Amino acid sequence: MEKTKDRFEFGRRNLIKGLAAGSLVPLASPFIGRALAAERLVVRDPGGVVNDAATKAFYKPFSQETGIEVVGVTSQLEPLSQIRTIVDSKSYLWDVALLSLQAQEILGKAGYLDEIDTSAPGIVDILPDAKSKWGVCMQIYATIFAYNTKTYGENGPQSWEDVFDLKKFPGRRALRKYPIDTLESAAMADGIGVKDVYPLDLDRAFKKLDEVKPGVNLWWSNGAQSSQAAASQEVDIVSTYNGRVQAAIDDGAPYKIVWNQGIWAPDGYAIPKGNPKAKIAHDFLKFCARPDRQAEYSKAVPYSPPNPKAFEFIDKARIDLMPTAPGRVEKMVMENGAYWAANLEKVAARFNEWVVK
Amino acid sequence: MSRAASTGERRRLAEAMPLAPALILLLLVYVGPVLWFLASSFVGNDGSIGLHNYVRLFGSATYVTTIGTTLKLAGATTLLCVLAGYPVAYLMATTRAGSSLILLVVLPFWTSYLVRTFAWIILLGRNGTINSTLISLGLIERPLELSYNFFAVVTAMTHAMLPLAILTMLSTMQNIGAHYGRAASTLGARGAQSFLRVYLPLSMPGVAAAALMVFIICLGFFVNPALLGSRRETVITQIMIDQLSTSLDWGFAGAACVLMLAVSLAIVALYQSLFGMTAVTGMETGRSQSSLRKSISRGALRLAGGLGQGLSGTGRRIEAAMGAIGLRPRSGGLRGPLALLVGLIVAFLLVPVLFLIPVSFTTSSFMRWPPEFFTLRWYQTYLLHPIWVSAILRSLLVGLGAAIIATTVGTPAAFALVRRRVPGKPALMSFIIVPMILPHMVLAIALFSLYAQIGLVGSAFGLVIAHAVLAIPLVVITVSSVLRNYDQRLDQAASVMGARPPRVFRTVTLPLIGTGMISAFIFSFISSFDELTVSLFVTGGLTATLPKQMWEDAINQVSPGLAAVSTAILVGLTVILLAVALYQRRAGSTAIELRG
Repeated sequence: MEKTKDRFEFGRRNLIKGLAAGSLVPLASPFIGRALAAERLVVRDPGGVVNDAATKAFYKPFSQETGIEVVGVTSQLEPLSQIRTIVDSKSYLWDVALLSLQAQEILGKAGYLDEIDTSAPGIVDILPDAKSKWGVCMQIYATIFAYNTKTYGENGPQSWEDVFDLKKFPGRRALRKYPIDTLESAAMADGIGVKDVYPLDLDRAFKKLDEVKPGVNLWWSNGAQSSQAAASQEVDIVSTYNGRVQAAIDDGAPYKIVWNQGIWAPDGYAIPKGNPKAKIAHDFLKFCARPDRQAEYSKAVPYSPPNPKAFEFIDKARIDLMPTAPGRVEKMVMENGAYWAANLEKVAARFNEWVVK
Repeated sequence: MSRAASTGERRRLAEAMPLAPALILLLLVYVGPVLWFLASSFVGNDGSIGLHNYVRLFGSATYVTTIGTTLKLAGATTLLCVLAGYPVAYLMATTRAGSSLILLVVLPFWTSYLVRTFAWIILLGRNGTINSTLISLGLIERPLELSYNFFAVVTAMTHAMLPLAILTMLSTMQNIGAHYGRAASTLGARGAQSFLRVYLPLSMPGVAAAALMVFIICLGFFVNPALLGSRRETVITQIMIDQLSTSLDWGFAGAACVLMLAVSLAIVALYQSLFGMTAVTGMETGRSQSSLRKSISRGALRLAGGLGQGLSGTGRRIEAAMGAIGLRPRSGGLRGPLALLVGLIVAFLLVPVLFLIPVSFTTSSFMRWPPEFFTLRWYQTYLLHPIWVSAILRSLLVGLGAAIIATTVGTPAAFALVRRRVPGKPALMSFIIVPMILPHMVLAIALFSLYAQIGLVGSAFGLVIAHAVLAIPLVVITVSSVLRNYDQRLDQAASVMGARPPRVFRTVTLPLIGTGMISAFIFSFISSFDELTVSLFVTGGLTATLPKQMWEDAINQVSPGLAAVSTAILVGLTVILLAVALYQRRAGSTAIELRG
């Protein structure tokens, strides 16, 4: 503190002289950034628990093995435009990006992502459902709901139908402000079975959403917001990713996860096309497909490893917190990446219009 | 102006030369990209020229609804800011004790508005501070619905904009001489009447300037609505950000920006026809009053006069009643209640700022009330994390770079506008303050589309230039206000003594206007240091400045680390602010002598 004060009392001339010299630094910094970038890999992730887990399981161990620094950079969910900007302007500020399966599909087909060598060791073992031409999946998560046991005791809502029933279960709700997951849950709330969710009956889903609308206090747009709402018990029912609400539960928040009718989906790393550091990036992806790495990741955040060999390294109690624990997947629906790749833009416009109305 | 017209064309150009750097920068980095970008709104997805994007814009309920929401939020905030800010500014302008409030009022102004938004999240939550306090006091049984609604958003927006409203009104009120009030009372006006018929009309330009600034800045707000509002508080800027991050539809974003610009320009035009730009720029325009302005001000005067009569009647009755129960009103009757009201408003300003300090020491991994003490973990993990360190450094460097460019370019422009005989001064001044009175969003998107094409996205240089352009109006306004109070006879005296112009500038002018330049420099630095919208776009969501990193953290991470960073910034900026205040007090003695 004292130091800052002294600097301001040096007097005008010194200050101005010093500042003139300082002005050269910001001008030069893009070049400094580029020079350093040779031994650094920048990975986009959605932050929160995902960033913490990836740092432990992938970023730090990769640095230790190869000497290449890996930095996790947080951005909003589904950063489609950023990837297009990166490739179109050839400014590779992210070398690798964590993307949903449908984002990989959309961008890959449009020529914005590098193709992956799917026969490489590790990658070859990944579940067929979680396989993509343009990415290596390292987590399977589920969108579920959880209820506050202080509000409802043990007899909370058991299905999406209950979540959408404001009379049977009065209370504050938090839902995702995005068509993906929210429309699926609305369809199931209206009685559509887990096997018949796709193609979505949009009219039915939106009609059902009208019913729950007055009871939704928080429309979250990023996972961390839903964690925060659960941790501070801002809502009684929260629909979010299982890892996000688990973080709040681990912090002492009284919530119970309901896996019934959950929506599961894989996420993974992809490489924006044309990157001069593509070779290192591909090595990083192979590293992340390794069973021991995927197991390490699942120990930090309760998402299932897409490489089944990873389960050898995980104990039973941990598997119990994951979407693919025995008996769960049968009652869930897999998010249909192809459906969303084809329909997202149109449905998102309708959803945005509905949500502000 | 007529004298300037009679001198030669070349002479006039030479007089205007100091303006050139500022104007060129504005044209290249502001006007050019914005116009080019807005033009793209007339090009459809398929490349055909026409109004498709506008048809889509007005055809979709999303945009019409969110524009309505944006105007409603901005309007409510403006009204509250003016109502709550007026008594504070009045007390500061008219009493010695009040003037010492300035540091307290300015403190929240210089702390990141993101930070203040988080404070409101915790204050207003269902299990937040206000609710848990009221419940533990037994005043309410069930928590009040304070968050995720219109009330929460307007409260936080008012909190963010109130200091600006107060400072804008204060600068007008300080120029209202006390002799007007004395004259009014000599002519028999009682307290309330003198205030309503004399002081209030004289302060109206300041009120209008404050309303104008607050309203236009609010049009671009999206942080508060996104974090504190429900779905009903979704604003147009948020929709534009969402839209651009899923599909890069420039034409459509351009159409939305044109709409925002049109609203802003309409309001500025209305303002200018009523009051002129004097209260915003501090520059006499010398225009005659328009007839609209005359009739409105006459109407307002009559209304105020009527109110004054009514109120002073009531005041007399209250005084009589108070006298009857033995309370003798002091001179200036309403001072006590006014001071109390101002105290409450200042408390409203300060509480959220000081509030995050305890939260930053919590052991919980979430921001929660009450905090569980005690750990320094958040300070360690955040302030030592390479991403945060580089964000802080980048913000400092960008801020310094932007402030240097803005001060170097803006100071000569201020000189030309105050000292030289430049034709079309009011128009030039209006042009220079354009970046200040139009929503930042427009520049943000325009520059993003330009930078994406020339490979400047994510570069520090691109950001420095963008922030410099935003700071030029601040520099021009600050430096020219110092120049206007500056006695030119001092320069003339130096010339008479044989000093050549460069020497006069170096030994007399520069030392005397130094305070103004330093203030301008610091304003520019802080405006860059706290700037989010342009940084968010121009960095392409890739490299991070401090506010951008905080924003990302706020929506992606939400941990007490944010409270720790906020507290550190608060302490840092307070130290800078105190140092500046100290510096100004030292330098101030000469400035005050000059003013006399």
